[in-house]
Amino acid sequence: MQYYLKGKLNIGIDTIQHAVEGLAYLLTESSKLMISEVDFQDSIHVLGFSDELNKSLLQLYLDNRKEIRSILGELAPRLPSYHSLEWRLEVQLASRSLRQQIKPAVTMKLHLNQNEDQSAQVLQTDPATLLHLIQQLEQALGEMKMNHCRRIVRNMK
Amino acid sequence: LRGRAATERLGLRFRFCGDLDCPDWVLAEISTLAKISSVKLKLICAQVLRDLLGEAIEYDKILKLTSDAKLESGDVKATIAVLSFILSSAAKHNVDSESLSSELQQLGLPKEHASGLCRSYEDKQSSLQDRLRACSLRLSQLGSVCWRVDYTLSSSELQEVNEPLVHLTFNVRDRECEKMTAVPVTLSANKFRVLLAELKQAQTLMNTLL
Repeated sequence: MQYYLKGKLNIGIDTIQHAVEGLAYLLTESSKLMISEVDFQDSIHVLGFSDELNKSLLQLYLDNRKEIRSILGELAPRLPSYHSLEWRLEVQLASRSLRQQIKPAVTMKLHLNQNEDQSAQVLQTDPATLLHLIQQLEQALGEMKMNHCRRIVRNMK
Repeated sequence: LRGRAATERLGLRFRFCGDLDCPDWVLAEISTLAKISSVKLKLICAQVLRDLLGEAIEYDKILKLTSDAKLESGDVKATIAVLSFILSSAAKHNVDSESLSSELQQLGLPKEHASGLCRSYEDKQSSLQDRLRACSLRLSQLGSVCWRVDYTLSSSELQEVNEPLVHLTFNVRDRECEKMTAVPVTLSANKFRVLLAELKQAQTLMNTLL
């Protein structure tokens, strides 16, 4: 693209690169801070461009800021998030060392998503630990209903 | 809507939902199903069953079948989703066709629609259950075993070794990525005998369960 522009506009490559970088910086910073039209105009006024150019830049900012913001939002680091859970219930009846057993277990495959990557974690537990896990998760959910959480959620809205 | 109020008040449980309440979205979509003619619904079921059985779904056919009912594109997808849920959940909980029909009617699905749906279900119930069984969680799967018996004549340690050696290669398939991994194992004759004896004991135990 740079060579295309150089051919068309007859400017050096470095100049084009700086121009593109400068423009990108202007748009991302403005979108990041979500500055108003007036503030944007004041900011670029300092650069001493023509009125027509200032108007084009402003229009460029207004047209694209929503999309730029959504892309910037994706850049924040993300932890792996829950995708799905496969499970099965099984019983161990015998092993090499011991016959006549009854040992129930729950095997789970936890599917996780992290920025387009999929990973899976295999876990196994006995029923008692599974019940404990369920209790803990229910307690965590229950916290959402407590006054402390409710107050914070209200204030965020 | 009459069905919805009834289930909420009486806290009715449904076998096809695993003896739980019917999910709200399923209840809502059942009224959409009633908008399609019962004959067309049976044909749409056949398509949904194809998808559940792992064959290609013919979305265009479904679009044609729903065009009379003047559904929006969101409704068509919702129809497919609710039918998928009903059919796979009924198979999951091993619900017979008559019980399914009666439960769907309790939820407000007209009688002809319910019978059509359940007849399609009945035809494919065991294939569906076989498919669900095959898709159940499984960590890995033995693809095949290759073997070779060698005879070691001599080595740098001992001039006359004269011992047999068994090479086994287990080809293991990872369920997720369909990749085969070869696991080679080499055993002496005695170790191999022990392995074989233990596996035979395990096989006997398995046979007592079948």
